[in-house]
This record gives sequence, C-alpha cells and structure tokens, in this order.
Amino acid sequence: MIVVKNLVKRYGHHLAVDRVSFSAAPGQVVGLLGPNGAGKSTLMRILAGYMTPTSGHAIIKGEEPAYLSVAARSRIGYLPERAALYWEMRVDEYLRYRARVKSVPSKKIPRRIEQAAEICGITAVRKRIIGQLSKGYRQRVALAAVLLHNPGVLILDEPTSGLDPLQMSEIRGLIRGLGTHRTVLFSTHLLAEAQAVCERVVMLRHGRVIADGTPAEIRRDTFGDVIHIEVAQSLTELGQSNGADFMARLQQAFPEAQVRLDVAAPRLRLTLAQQGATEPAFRIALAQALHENGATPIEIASAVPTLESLFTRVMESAGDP
Amino acid sequence: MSKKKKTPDPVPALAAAPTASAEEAPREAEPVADAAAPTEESDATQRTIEAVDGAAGGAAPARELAPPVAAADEVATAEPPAITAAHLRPPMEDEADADGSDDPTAAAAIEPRRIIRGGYRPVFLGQVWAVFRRELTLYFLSPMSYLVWTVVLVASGYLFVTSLSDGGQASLVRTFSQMGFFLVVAVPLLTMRLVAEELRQGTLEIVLCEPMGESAVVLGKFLAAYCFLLVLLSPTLAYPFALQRIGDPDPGPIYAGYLGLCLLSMLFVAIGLWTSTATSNQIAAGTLSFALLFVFWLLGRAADSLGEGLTSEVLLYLSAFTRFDAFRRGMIDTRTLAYIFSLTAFYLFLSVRFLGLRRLR
Repeated sequence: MIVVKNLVKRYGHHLAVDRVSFSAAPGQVVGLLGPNGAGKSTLMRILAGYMTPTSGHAIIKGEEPAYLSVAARSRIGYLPERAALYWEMRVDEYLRYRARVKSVPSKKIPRRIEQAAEICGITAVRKRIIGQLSKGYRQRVALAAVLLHNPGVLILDEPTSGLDPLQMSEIRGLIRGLGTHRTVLFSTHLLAEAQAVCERVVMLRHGRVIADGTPAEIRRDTFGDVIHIEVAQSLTELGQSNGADFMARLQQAFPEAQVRLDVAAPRLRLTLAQQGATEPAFRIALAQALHENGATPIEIASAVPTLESLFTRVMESAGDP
Repeated sequence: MSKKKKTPDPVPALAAAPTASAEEAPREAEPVADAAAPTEESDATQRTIEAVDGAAGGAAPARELAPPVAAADEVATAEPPAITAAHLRPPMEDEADADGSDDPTAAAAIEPRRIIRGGYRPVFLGQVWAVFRRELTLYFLSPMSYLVWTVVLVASGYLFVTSLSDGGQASLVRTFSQMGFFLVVAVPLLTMRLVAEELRQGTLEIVLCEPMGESAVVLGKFLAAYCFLLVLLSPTLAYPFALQRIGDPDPGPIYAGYLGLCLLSMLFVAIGLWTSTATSNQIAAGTLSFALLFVFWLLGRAADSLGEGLTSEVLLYLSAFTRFDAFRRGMIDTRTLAYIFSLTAFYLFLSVRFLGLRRLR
C-alpha cells in the first residue's frame, strides 16, 4: 500500500518532484514512466527512505520511511537504479549477509535464500562470485536480495535497464509474478515495458504527474485514436504548386483531427489522431476523402503510439512549466 | 493473432518484441530449461500464461507483433535459464504477514506515524555481526591489507632488532614508540575504504535503505577494522618472547605497552572511520585521517620542544602519543583511559551522524 500526497523535493532551485500524488493498492503493479530526469528515481528514493521530501508525504502502510522508521523500511524491498552489489562476495554469502541485515530470523534464513534464489532463477550460480557473473545474473541476485525479508511493497528502480531483450522479458515476467500478492512500484522509460507489466501507469515529466491510469486509458485520453496513412502519391504530386493545399483540404474534411505530416516523398505518409478514428466508418470516410483529393490510399492502419509521441502529446495538453 | 495486420510505425513493433518473448518464453523454454518437467508443470505454465494474458489487457495487440519463433531461438542460445511457471508463482512462505494484514485505512494513510530523525533507532546485534563479518572477510581478501601488514611487520621487526643492538637493553619502550608511528601510516590505509568505497560504488544506498540504524553500520565496520588491526599487530607478540630468551625484561611495561597500543589503535580506527564517512574519495579520506593522526603525533613533539608552560601542558593533554608514552613506561593512567574512550566514542558518534547525512543529500 503506497500513498504519495503532494510530494515535493527541491534541490536548491531545481524542483525534482513537484506536488506528486498517487496511490497504489496491494496486488497492483504500478509503473512510473518518464524520460530520464523526470524525477522517477528521486520519488523512489524518498519512498525507500533514502531521502527526505521537502514537503508532502510518501507513506507506505501508514508510515513514512523517509523519517527513518526502521519498521517502515523493513516492509519495503528497494532495488536502486544502480543495483550495486559487493562484487567480491559469493552469491550465497551475499544473500546471507543481506538477510541478516534485514533481521530475518536465523532459522528462516536458509529457506528464504533458497526461495528467493528459486524465484529469481539463480540457484545454479549460488556458489559463484558475484563479480564474475553476467549482468543479467547480477540483476537477478540484486532482486533476490530484495525479496529475502518478504516485503509487502517492492520499489524497483529501472530493474531492466542494461539488460538484453530476453533478460528484460524474464525480469518483467518475474515482476508480474511478484505483483500478484504485493504492491510493486517500478520505474522505466520504455512504454512497451510499462504496457507489458503494469496494470497502471503514472507518467512523470519535470517532476509532475502528467497522466495516471491504465496504459490503454492514457493512450485514449491523450490521443483519441491514432491512425497512420500512406498514399501512393508524393506530396508534390498531390499538391500541384505546394502540398499545403492537400493538407489543408484534409484538415477541412476532418476539422477535429490532428493531422501530422511524417514523410512527403516518394509516398506521402501522415499520422491522424482523433477520437474514434480507428472505427471502420471513420476509416471509410477517410479513404473517400483521400480519394476525392486525388490521393490513392494504400494503407490506413491504427497505431500504437510511441512513448515519444505520447509524451509530446501529454506535454502539450499539460502545458510546459 | 487477429489484430495483427499492418503497423507502419516501426518503433512500436520493435519495442513490442521483448513483450512477445515475455509471453512466449516460459512456454517455449520449458523443454530447454527442464526437460524432465512433470506434466502438471506445463499445465501450470499454461495457466499462468492465460492469467497473464487476461491481466495484460490493453497490451494484447502489441504482443502479437513478433513471431514466437524468435523467442524460442533466444531461449535456446541464452545463458541464464528462463523463468518457469514455478518462478512466476508468488511462493514466499507466510505471505499473510508480509502483505497488508494491517488494514491501510484512509485515516492511517492521511495521518502517518512519523518517527523523527535522530529518534530511537535500535541496534540489533545480528546486524552489527553481519556488517562485521563482511568487512572482516573483505580485509582478508584485499591485497592492500596484506601489503600494509607486510610493511608494518618488516619495518617494526627491523627497528626492533636495531634498537636491541643499539641500546643493548631488554626493553620494548623504543619499539612501542615506533609502532605508534606505524599506526599513523597504517590505520588510514586500512580504514579509508570503509565507507568512502561504498559511497562511490553506490552500495551505500542499499545499506542505508535496509531496516538498520546507522549505528549498526558504524559499529560493525569499526569493530571489523579494529579486529583486523589487532590481528595485524599480533605477530609483534613475538618480540617479548624473543626478549625473554636473550634477557630479563620487566613484564609490567610490556603489558601496559600492549594495552596502550590497543587503545591507541582503537582511537585511530575511529578517526579513520569518521574521515571515510566524510568523503566519497578513498584517497581524500586516507589523507585526511593521516593528517589528523599526524597532528596528534606532532602535538606531543611540539609540547616537548616548548618545554615547561601552560601551552605545553595543554598540548601534552591533547596528544594521544604523550598519553601512550606513559603506557609504554608501565603506567596505566585512568585519565588516559577516559581520554581515549571518550574520544573514540566522539568519533564514532560523528561517524554515525555523517553517515546519516549521506541519506539527505
């Protein structure tokens, strides 16, 4: 259970986190999505108790880890962005060390290590020295260490960064599995990752929440629906003297749509966003409109927006601070 | 595979590829990862995948963009084992106590229990022991410790022999004084990495986010460094035995001298530890603690050269070395004990505070 209320963190004049509020229920996987420098790590560090906020609350199960409650911290599993390990230790030694530090009862330690190692798939490397492991394995060791005290809340800061695609997908699967009984907050700058793992996404930009909801909701709210259009002619072929005419006429036909020119030649490519744009009726109307303006549509397809375009759009609607 | 048709934008397609393997990997990987898996296992996998499919909801169209064959290839060539159904199950014991049996009511959420910085932070011996063990192991693994060890032993052995042949006395008074100076050099080399290195490598963030007070960290590290220093000095116990073979030394000054050496080491380690918490640069930490220890040593020298007078007396009080002098002559002074213990406690306290400051930034 995570509640963040009006959280502000200021570094000198720089506002790293600006009045952020959201909450996450048990059994929910929430993704913090944002470009680098959006304040994701700062927010997570405050939640993990590594930093104190300038104002506001970051509450985990009714307590604020930032105010140094050892009890609060014992309910959190925090994986920092740099999952730094002690490279000279063996995996087993390291996990035992972390378990002791987390005050896991000594009778339970071997069992917990076994379980965490099994969950993270590192049973085979338990006797190896951490420094000699591959990056994927090191990330798993770090994740296993976080699970040792069986925390109800997991805070994972970019757990898949620097991994290859297969390792990424495995870690994602792991996070989904862990999220069924725990509250998981994890950060990423990949939209696809957020879509694959989270039930809910909180988008940050310049330290502010700019969107909060399921990935599908955010997409719908910000874009309406998006379709890509490709026609057989180039812009110059279509536009007689200049192409603005064609674009203007298209805009006239669909006054509510946002039309963007992607590629002018050899074949014109456009992106069009409007509520309900993916409906067949709309696409039929679009095809007719294109045809009337001398264009031969060869492709009209609904699109999954990229993170970049989604951000640009959300930013525009939120207004740049 | 119904919605997959044309997606002209290449970016989502690329980004979706890992997603696809997330879904497909367990199914395809089963024979690779565990050929002898029982049939229920693959059923479980199937169920998990179905559950995941249901949960993924909005992600469904994106998932189907990549061919599942690619995922299978990746699994076959990849080095780590794939996550199987067993891994996806949330299997930790006593799940109930971990997960929100305490009801997160709205009231509790709005009025959180705040524990003020600097308030009660229990020190659990198990945590101190864990930190202590790790640090001590690290000392025995580090080449630097063996280097320091060798240099200290060779130099003190050489000076022990020369002091015997020069002075012709069966006494360790001169050797103790020289070993005191070795500490000024050796302790910074041993303690400089304690916290500075963790800060530089980023492991300190993990340490500070553990359910553990800073004092446990400081105590564990301090005890480990102190223990290692005592181990490092222990071979010099051969000197008194050697003296006994060739002469008839007075045992009193030797016992007192060793006690003094141990106490002096304790203080120096505390100072070294504090300088290590003060900076993220090992070399800076080492230099700073060397400078501090050297000043202690200089104070005694300065007092000697000033002769009688108030300044000289004050300096004598302040210098750890002058206090050590009394010990190696066989005198145990309670004022000295108070001096060393209180200064050690002071520096340990400073270390705890400085470590706490690392949290704020």
